Amino acid sequence: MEFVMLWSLVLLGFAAVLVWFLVIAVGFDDGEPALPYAPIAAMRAITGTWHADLPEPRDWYGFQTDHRTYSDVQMARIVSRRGIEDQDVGPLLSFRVRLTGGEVVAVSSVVTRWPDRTMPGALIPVGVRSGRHGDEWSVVEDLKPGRVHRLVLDHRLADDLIDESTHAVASTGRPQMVVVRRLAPTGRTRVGHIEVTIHFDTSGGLREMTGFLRPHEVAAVRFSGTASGYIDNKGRWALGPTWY
Amino acid sequence: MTPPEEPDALEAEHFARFRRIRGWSTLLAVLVSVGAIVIAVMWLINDPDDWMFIAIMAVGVIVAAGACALIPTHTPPDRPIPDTPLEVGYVILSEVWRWDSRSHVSLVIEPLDRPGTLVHGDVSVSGLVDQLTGTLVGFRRHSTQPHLVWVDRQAPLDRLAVAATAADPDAALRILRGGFEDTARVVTVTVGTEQADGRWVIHVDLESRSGLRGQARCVLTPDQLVMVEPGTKVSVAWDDSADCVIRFPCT
Repeated sequence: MEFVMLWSLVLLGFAAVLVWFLVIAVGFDDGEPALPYAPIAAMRAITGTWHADLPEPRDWYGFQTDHRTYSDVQMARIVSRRGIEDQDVGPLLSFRVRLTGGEVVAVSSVVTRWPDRTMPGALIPVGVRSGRHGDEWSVVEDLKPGRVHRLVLDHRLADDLIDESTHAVASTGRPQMVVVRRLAPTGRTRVGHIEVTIHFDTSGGLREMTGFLRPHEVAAVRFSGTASGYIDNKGRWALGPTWY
Repeated sequence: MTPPEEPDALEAEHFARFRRIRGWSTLLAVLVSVGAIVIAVMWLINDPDDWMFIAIMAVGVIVAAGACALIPTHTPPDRPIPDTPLEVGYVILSEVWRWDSRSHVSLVIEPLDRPGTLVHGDVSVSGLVDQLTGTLVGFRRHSTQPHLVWVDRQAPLDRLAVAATAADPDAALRILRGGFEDTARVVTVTVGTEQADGRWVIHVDLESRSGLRGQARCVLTPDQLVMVEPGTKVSVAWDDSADCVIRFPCT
């Protein structure tokens, strides 16, 4: 009896310390209005990520799949997505994607940590894997950034969003942020992309580059005033980014 | 450019009240705990043999008082639907906060008549959550938080949208009133001159199913060009000459 009471006293003592620690910590911590959502920050974040090296699909999309071997790995454009909130693992999304040939296929659902990055129009790497129900298209999470870069460029070439010379500059050149002086549309649109000409300053004077961007990327360039391009060692520019 | 937004009176009042209640409840919990310790010490002097029972009672009271003082932060109450004028804007981005049969989506909207600024608002959507990106929505600004908006998905938008996007708003509104409605296919898009506000005059050549051809001139930002991509079907109003108006929103 004595023993049980001693134990309960010790446990109650711990509980008292914990509860009063929380009272003090919470009391000093919040009670202030949350910082207001800043839409301009969301726009800057889009061009801000272009500074960084291309991350692996696992890190960018937060895909959580098991390691398998995939065949016919390629980039595919998201057509639509549907999601449910799983209590334990977070958003579970399933996609319909358009392959390079134009065929639209369903991709088996996948857990994503950053569901907002899987907007329709974005590129995700997919491949065929053999499962219990035969071969199925699935998201490929572990691809080296260099491979993703090549796959994205090939996909853009197949979609006629870049030509051969731009493909060559973007393959061999190094990425570079530029400060935009002027943004002008050319009036051409293709597979949901808008062709724009970006005038920017370099050490050698005012230059310009033309290329296709997705609508929200054009808006991000317009609001943030920065864009990303590739410059090769001959000094030729190609409008980037080569992003997902 | 859109300046950062300060918390408004509605939020400030809510959080002041919240801090006041929590201050009083913490003070009360401290007093109860101190009282419990004082009573326990006095009791201990009278009956030193019951020390363990007294200690358990005292610590129990302290835990209970502390638990009562723990008030979690509330979110402020829902704002009332504002009665400010209806405006129309183009949805640039949509971020989904919850994935379910009804999902909560936060929209970043560029008002059509104030290009270069941004507003934001939340909507709850059933079904596919991406149908709002790249479309036009109506919204009303909250009077004390002018960049926070209430999205009105029922409001008729065509008059406002035409007035904000047409190169010649008066003529466009006249055609919209007096002309006949039709659907047409976008044939070509030509970019004209740049306006002072960063938008561009866009010449859109249209052809209706009956073979009627005409041109609409509108003022759009570069990213809004995706609404008039060649090949898309848009809703238009024709007048007797070859002039026509695209009745945004196209769907």
